[in-house]
Amino acid sequence: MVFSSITFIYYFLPLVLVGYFLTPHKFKNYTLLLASLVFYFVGEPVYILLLFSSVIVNYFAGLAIEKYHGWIRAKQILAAAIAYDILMLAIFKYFNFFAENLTAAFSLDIRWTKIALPIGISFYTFQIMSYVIDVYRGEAKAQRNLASLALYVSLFPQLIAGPIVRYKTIEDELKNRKHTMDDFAYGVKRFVTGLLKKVIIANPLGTLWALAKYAEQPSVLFYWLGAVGFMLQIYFDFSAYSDMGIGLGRMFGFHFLENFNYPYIARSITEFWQRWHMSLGQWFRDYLYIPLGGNRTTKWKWFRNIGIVWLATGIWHGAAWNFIVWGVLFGMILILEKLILLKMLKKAPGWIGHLYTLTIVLFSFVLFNSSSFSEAANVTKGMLGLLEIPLVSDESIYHLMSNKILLAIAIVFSTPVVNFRPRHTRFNKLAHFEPVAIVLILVAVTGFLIDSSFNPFLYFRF
Amino acid sequence: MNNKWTTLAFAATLILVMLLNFITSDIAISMTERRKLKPFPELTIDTILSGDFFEDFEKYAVDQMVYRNPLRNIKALIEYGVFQKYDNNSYFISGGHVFKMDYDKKLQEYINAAKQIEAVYERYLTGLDVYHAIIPDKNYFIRDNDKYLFNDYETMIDTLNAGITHSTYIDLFSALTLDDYYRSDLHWKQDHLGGVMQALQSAMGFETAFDASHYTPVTLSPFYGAYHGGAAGLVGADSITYLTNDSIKGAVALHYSENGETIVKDVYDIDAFGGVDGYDQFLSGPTPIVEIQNPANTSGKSLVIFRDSFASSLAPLLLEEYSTVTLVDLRYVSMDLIGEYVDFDEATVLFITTA
Repeated sequence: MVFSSITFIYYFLPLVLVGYFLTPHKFKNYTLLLASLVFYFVGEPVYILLLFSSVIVNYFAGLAIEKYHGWIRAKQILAAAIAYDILMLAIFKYFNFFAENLTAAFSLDIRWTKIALPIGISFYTFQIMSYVIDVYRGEAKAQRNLASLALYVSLFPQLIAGPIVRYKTIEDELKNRKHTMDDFAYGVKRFVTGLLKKVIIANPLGTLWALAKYAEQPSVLFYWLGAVGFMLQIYFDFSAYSDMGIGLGRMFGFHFLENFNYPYIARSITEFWQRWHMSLGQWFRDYLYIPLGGNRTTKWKWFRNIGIVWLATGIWHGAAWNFIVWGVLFGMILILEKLILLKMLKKAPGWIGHLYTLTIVLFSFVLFNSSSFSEAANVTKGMLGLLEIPLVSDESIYHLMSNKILLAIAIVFSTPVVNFRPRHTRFNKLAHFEPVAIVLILVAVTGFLIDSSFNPFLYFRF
Repeated sequence: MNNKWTTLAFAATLILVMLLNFITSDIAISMTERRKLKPFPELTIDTILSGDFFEDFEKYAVDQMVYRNPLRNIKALIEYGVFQKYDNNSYFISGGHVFKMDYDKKLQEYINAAKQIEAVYERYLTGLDVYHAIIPDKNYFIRDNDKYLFNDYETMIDTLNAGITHSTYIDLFSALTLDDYYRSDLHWKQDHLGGVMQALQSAMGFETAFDASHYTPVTLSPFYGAYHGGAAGLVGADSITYLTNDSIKGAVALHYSENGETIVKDVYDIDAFGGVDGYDQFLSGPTPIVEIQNPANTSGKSLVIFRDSFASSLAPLLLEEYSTVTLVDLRYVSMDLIGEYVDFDEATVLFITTA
């Protein structure tokens, strides 16, 4: 189940909200856990067992690590728990990739059953790993209540698309949290803003890539339109899910950390990654980069650490070579920035930094969104005018002009020029219109979701 | 205080819509979208464990959402009004008409169509009078509008004609205007086919000139055309006016089905007007082979039309000239079977299709 679905908005969420707020305080976690398990079960009926197993293994590991705190056995148990978590990830996310590449590399004639990717496995595995590591480090206490740990892992607002919530961030709120009207209203505004971004901006932008890819009249302009459309789509799509997750969390009294901070205004790739999917960057920083030695080591080891982190980042994003290359490329660019580019960019006018960052991000997303290297190469060549295609075509002009307002809105709202994020508006005159705006946005979003099924048959019976 | 109202507005909207969805009866068919709506999915252990139930439930929830049509209208209004998009789901509105973007027709389609006509000729039509005509689609009439994308009609016609060697081409492009088409549908209006009838008469040598006064117009409404749903209700419903007289009322339409059964119907199937596609009232809609016999015409002349849906409304007007009009839709019947059902002896043949 996704947040931007009729089932979620008009069936699941109202039932859960009513059930949750009618539940006595001390049982609220159980209601939320049940709702989260139902939420996951709807999307992944069978793989809920995998989620359970992850919770149980790490629950007992956490207790044992705390028991043997300071002893070598704690480290061994931590290693075993992490090995289990990574093994599950390797099997269920990367097995097909390994098998395909091994059979191709060694010309093996082995048949295997493809394993379907369990939704959210990358997110919840990283969360549960942060739990056992924090317990090992003594930064968090082992959770004695299995249901509370299960709730932390399966909490539906952040289960399938983040943000990656660290255990210590909500450790206290799992036990005792306040529910206030201010928090709930903020959550509503954040959730509805996310819906608007996802359904009305990101989804339509997503069509531009497909239109460019399958154009009857390909042109340089069309490839740029598709690439820019996807660059904006992925920001609005991903940040919208974070908005919705943070908003839903707030309705239930949880305070998740921010995940995006206007990444497209960054003036370097280093800054871009401090603003894009921040919870993932922070996770890798705290649980991989710093344990490897971070930057407090020799220069070559520092670069090696960056390389490892970005190789892992690429692999985390997907089991395909384009993601791995994408991650490695960013690692190389970040090393280059640390060596020389950052100093140059600081001295250069601001627009050069913006142009440099946006250009790299744009082309990196072409690689990210391509199903193969040849597709990525084809789109890149198209953008650079290296294919035998015209600069513009009637078709590309049509789609540019037809989507000009949408593109303009997306560009403006991807910057802080107009703040998309709801603020506390106690003294803001416009705040009086918020309840009306909430309803109007819900109506508009519902209209867009409903119309997605529009698929008429001109000859009905055939 | 304001946060209280925000919370209330949100919660009330979600709960109210949920309750309305629960208490509102499901709808089987959407007349404006002309399609079946998803019924409540099968609820079994298997469908739950496979995830099919939940997948189908979302489709059901979307299809059976209360106020579905007004919500689709709102979406279209936002697309056209706020985002100033040129089309909504590939449909666009111009001059009160709904059009569907259809600019990527391949010339190969016309090369193939010409080959098919040639193949039919070689198989069945040697020595017969054969004609072919192309019906312009609605977009042809606004092709000078720089905003939208259109096919290159001239090249398409030239390509088709270049591939046909045994047939006389009849130009219908100059016999029609946009007003001759329904606003919410792709088809032409039967009561506006005077120009088409004159073009056919001139080329095919009809003995009787078309005269509208020989017919009584009957109007049926509302007619939600195939594009009505595409415009999300922003263009109103049409009405269908069909032309009838005693001769047409006395004619019978023999529908040949693949199991050998022949179903006898009236030329105008008024009951079909109340179905999903009101245009089906002309010859009961899509049919592989239908033979119209007109006892009032004793000339013995017969016409075989290889056609698409447009000819369903044209054929009744040809009964004044022909005793028998047989319509063959090659999309629904194999060329090998045609000879078993159609008598080509001394027939005139017309290929008529939409551009």
